[in-house]
Amino acid sequence: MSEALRDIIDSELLARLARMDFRVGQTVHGVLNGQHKSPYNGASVEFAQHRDYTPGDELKHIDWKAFGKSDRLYIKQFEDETNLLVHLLVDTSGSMGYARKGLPDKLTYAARLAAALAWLLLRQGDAVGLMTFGERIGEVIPPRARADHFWHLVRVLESSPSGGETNVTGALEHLAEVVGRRSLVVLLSDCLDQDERFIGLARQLQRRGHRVLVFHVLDPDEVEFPFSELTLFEEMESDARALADPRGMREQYLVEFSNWCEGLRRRLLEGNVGYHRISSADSVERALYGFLARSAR
Amino acid sequence: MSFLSPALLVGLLAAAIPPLIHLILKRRAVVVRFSALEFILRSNRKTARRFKIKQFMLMALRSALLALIAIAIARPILDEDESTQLVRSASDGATVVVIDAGFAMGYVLDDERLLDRARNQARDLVRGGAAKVALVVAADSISVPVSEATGDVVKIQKAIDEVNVGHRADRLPEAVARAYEILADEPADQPRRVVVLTTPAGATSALPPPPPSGGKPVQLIPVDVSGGRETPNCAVVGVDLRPAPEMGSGHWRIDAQVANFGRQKVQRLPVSVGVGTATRLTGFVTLEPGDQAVKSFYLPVEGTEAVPAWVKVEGDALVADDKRAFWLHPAPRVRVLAVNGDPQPTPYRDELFYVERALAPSATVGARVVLTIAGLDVLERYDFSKFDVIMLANVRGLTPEHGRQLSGFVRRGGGLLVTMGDRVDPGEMNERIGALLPRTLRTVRRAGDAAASDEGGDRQAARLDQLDLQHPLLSGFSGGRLASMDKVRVRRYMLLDPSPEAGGSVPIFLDNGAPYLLARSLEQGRVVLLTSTVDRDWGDLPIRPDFVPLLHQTVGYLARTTAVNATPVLLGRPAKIESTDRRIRRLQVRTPTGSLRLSERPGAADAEWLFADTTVPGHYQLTADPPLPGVLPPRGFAVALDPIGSDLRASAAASTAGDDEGESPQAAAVGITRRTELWHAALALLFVMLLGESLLLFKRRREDPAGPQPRGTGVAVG
Repeated sequence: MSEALRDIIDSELLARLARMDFRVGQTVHGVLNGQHKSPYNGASVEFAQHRDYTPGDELKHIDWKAFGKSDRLYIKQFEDETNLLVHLLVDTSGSMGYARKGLPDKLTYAARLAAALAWLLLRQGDAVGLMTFGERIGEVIPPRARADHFWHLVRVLESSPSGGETNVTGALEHLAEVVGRRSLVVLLSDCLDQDERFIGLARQLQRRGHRVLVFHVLDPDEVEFPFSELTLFEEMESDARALADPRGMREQYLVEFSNWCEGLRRRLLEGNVGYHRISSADSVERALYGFLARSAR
Repeated sequence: MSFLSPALLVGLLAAAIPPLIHLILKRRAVVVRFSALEFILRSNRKTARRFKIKQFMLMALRSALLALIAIAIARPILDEDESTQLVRSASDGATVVVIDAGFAMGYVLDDERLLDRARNQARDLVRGGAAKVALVVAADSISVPVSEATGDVVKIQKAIDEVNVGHRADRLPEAVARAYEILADEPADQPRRVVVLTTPAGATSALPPPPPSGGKPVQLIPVDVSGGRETPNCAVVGVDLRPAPEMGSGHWRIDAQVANFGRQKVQRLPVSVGVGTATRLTGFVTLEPGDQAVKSFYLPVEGTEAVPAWVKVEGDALVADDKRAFWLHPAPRVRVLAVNGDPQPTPYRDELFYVERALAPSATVGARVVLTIAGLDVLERYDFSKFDVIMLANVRGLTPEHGRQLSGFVRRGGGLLVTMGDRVDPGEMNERIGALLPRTLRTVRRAGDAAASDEGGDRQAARLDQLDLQHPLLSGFSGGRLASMDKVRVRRYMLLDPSPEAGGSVPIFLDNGAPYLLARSLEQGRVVLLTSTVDRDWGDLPIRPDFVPLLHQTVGYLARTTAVNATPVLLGRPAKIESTDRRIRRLQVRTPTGSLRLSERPGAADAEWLFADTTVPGHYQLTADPPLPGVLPPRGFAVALDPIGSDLRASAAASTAGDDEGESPQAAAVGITRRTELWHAALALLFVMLLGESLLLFKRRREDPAGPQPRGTGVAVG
């Protein structure tokens, strides 16, 4: 892990992101007017529906014109737009410290992506919070919609060290306990968690009305396994090690890894959890544009 | 399989290089900290076994490649099994198997006698499908157990089982000739061959070639049953005996001739001499390859009977020739003729008073000196050849004839002892026997003259000085036995002419530098000159205790000395019986095995009496039959093996001839123990293994499309 501040801000990228919108495909709760559909019918001009009057409803919401025509009391409902509550969950475990030479490590990449997302969301009035986690929960910053909140997030992302085992499950359990109204949960992790209950938790959050997005950050070495010489592989999150001749086992590794990635994607998508696999070899901008383009479809 | 250059097999160590490289590379494996280790572990579990097998195969293949290169360079050869070849060659036609059963076939190679190997090979040949086989055995005699080529396996095997080692070593050519006779009765249009199972020497010896015949020629196939192995052997090949009176009365000097028939040097080989069943003396000899050495022993014979004696070397692979028997007879008496030049009526004043008593039988236990005293005037009556030693004591008046006789006596092997005295005329003595003396005489000197002038005192006698204890005259003395020689005083002595070219030696000087006792050899004989007297006229030597042994030693030295012919009768040859007493008509011969044989004197007076039944080596004892009281039977004799048979080495000439195929039937046949060089096969195998390695590597490269590992990938720490 590195104690130095990682460089995660690309001002040119942030400037280009200013021209983009980030919309969540489902309704979310919010306290401010924003660009996202709200589950609450508010004072919007866009009519939504009528419903029967029930005692207790405010009289100002009764559609008197409809009463005049049908002699029945209807409440007139309008769609409301609200701001988004976003939780960025950034994995800072030891495995996120891996990097192919010449590329940023996965944590740096995830931090850059998280910063870009935060910038985009805060700029359109959404409240963005941050939780870092490794084996345990690290920094937790509640969602705020203030403009200067971005730099608070950036400082945390820049200084969060990598280390410990991956524990996505623990992070989602913690979030499930503290999260209130429907939110957007964005998980940035390599998902190399031995405990695969995190998939179930993500699906559970999704079922509870939250929107869960998983950015699966991978290093190209993990995907391509380019090693050839006799190598002693050491686990980054524990003392485990394995002597192997990569030439003899590469094929098998690629099959195993690919199967795992596909299984993860399939199980998350089955629960309507958003899944986006990102290589740290790609630029953050490209990865983000790709994600936004897919979201727009 | 063996190798022409076995030293190059050290290259086999190169086979360890691939495993070492593997271990080194394993130790130097790149260390990478990696995030997805779980997938590596999972994949490794599934592929490790297959990968390890492939790795092991590759490593083993490379080790084998290097080992094979070393083996090919060392030039492997295959000595084809003779039995296999014989079976292959004898599958048709008629075969006569000649088994050499000479004593050399008793050689033990790998706990198996050569004869047993020969029998096994003969059995293999019969069992292996030989068409028709006859059998000839060359033992002490030529036997033909199966006289016609037959396919009766049971009969042939029974005959083979009954073959035993004999004692002779010269029957093989005769047996081969007998085999040719058997084959002469076989159809000439069929293959005919003689297979000789013998020693390396026998296989390369000059065996009689097949006789010319119509049809297919007879093939002679000598087979070295040792398979070309080394057959080191040491043997006693001869014994020489000669009396050694200088070592004491009744002593014999036994010269044992020991030979090394091996190709390696033999260090400190124990050689023993014994009488009866007891070992008496043991010594050691060192023998170069193919060399002979003589080890001398001195052994006394007590009593009047001849004793059976033997020389043997420490047992080796061929025991039969390690021991050689001979008879040790009581040493002959030394006959001394003493010429008294100054006889006196008073005994103790007589010139030979002390000599006579010193040489008397009572003077020394076991002394065997017969002393005859004569005056110069009656010297013509004596035949000098009847004596071993002639002593001239203070003699004057030798005639020229005496001089010639003495000269002939000495040159033929007699011993001459000359002592001085007042009667000696140096001029006359020089004239008569000056050529025999170590130095010519000049004049009589008083010892005190020189001593007095040197020391300025009143000494009247000289002392003995510079005793050469290594000289045979004094070598019999040991310990303090010469103590009394220091006390000897010499008042007068004969001064000798200086003669740098004079032969001989001076075992004792006077302390004034003048020679006191001189010795020389002349042709077969020896001469000793004492420059003083043997009575007390010129000195007191005769009354000193060392006089008696010195005189015996001198007589023994002079009497030496012809070697006794101890050459044993070679086994199988007739022994000549020396018996002049014609009263003995018949002899009972006790052989070494204890059996008795009778031998009759031949009828003709001038015919030699021979005993032909010398079939066993050892001592043969003779007694008159019937016993004749008072008549001594002839001396016994010893029978020994022919030492030619002890040399089992293949002859170099024959080995060379064997390389030239087709020179002669035998030359071609010697090549039956041919060697097949295998380096071609080794190289072919090498090529195949290289292909195998390439295949393995090709498969690996196909499995490794990623190419070389990108250095610096991941978080490498190591």
